[in-house]
Amino acid sequence: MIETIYSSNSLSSVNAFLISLVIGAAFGWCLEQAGFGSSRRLAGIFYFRDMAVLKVMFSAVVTAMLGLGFAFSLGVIRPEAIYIPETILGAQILGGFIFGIGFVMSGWCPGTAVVGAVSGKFDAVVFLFGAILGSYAFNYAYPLIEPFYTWGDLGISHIYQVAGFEFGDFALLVTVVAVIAFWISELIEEGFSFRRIAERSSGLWAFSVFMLIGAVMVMALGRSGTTGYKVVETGIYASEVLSHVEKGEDHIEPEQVARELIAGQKRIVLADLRTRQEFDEWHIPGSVHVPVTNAVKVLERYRDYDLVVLVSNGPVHPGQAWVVLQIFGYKNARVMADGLHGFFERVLKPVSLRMEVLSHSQVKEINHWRTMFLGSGMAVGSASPPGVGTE
Amino acid sequence: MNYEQPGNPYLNPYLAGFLLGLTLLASFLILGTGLGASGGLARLSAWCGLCINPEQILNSEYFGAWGAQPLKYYLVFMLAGILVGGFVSAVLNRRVRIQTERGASYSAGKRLLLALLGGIIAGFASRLARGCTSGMALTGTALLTTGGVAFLLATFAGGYLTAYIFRRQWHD
Repeated sequence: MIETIYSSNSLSSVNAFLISLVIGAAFGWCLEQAGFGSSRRLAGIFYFRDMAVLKVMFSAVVTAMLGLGFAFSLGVIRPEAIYIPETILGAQILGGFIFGIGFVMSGWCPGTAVVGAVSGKFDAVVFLFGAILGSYAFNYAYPLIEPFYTWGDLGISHIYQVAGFEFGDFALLVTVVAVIAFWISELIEEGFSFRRIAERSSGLWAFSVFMLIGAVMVMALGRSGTTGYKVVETGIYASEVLSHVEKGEDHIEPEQVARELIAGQKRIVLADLRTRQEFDEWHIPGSVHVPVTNAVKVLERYRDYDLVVLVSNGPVHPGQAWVVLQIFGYKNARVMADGLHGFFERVLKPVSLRMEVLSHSQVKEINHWRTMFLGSGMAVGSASPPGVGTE
Repeated sequence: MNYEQPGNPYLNPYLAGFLLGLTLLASFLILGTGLGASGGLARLSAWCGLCINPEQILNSEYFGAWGAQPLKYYLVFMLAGILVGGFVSAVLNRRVRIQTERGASYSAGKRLLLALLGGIIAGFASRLARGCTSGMALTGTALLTTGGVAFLLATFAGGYLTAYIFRRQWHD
């Protein structure tokens, strides 16, 4: 697994600046080669005269997306080593719409205008001056428009998760849509003449087949599930994992889980490892169902959480899953001691059924837990816990 | 498609897109971030502000967060890279020509006014959306983020809905 400048926290180093310069140069070279140093060519897409923007943009998106798909599933890089831009849906839809108006009005966008400027386009220089003024205006307007700036904050949000897809399946869908869009673009440019399309040699046939094969491979790798998680050199020592066990850093008490959940200060996820059926019958409000076999993969998205609590009826399966998770570097994973049985006994059991002597504050806390986890407050699914289950 | 263009013909768009995709992929795997252009411009804007009125900028909520040296940022260097790479490619392919690009029947003054206004709008909007065509539409969509895809669709919606108003600047 490779580390990136971002994951090693050195984006402000001289090294990072030099690499950015080189990558920027490659970026500028590609834009110029694509003909994006011309505002007439860029604006062409809005008048269906020249579809180069769509072709270049979607080819680039599909290439990078599939490349990442291979890199993730072959274990070249951890997904967290890449900075994912946050989704602030309202701000981005509003900003995108306004940006589109500025784009068609000027025929430029920031990156292409830099390329236009060095190609001698005076309108690009004027655009860049405008963009600097616009950023300046934003800074002034910021206190007024802050509600819009944070409008619809979803944090890190992936469209395939929102749509209920796996990454690989969605990537294939995007590739198919892109290939269809390429052919429609060619048709538009050739005035919907299939004869002229046939005569035109743009290499699109080869490119379409190449991209689709890549997408099918990414989907297949994603579906096989195990590929990315071969045990490879992870740099984690067995003694390190075992010392966590010795120090009791492998588990967390049910009461502690209840308190953390209610406090809501930390980013916690309860990973319920039982069968889907058991999960649907009852689960601690706020937990997610994680099939044991896929645990390493499914929990990937919670890697940066403060706490991943592994839950089953007892502590055996979570304990075993915990060891595997340690191998894959899940330092935030904990087993809930005594499992759900413990949670019922120590958190949810009514005061009247308890043998031990309880102080007033303990009674109060237990009653609060019962309202939060069984009452209408947070409860999901059936309100009554199931009987004694099987591990 | 039939307008005249100086120098060598452009690269096949699919090949250019593929190479751009590889550049983006390299950025993901080495830097750990995508590409960006408007971020660098905004930093430049903050720097200009610091030259004129440092106190006001440092105390402002948005630019102030970037501190007294906003140019010490990787996206500023990426912007410089775009300039260098674009220039080298344009020179090698003899595509540099000083001009105000517009339709033959449109006045240069009006074209420049549209470029200026469009620039102001795009500069402002890219701050609101946290990125432009590179940082949000290209990078965000390649990572399949909800915001990236939404930005891309919204950009085309805004563009197509208003394209008719600005069509004359390209009439020959």
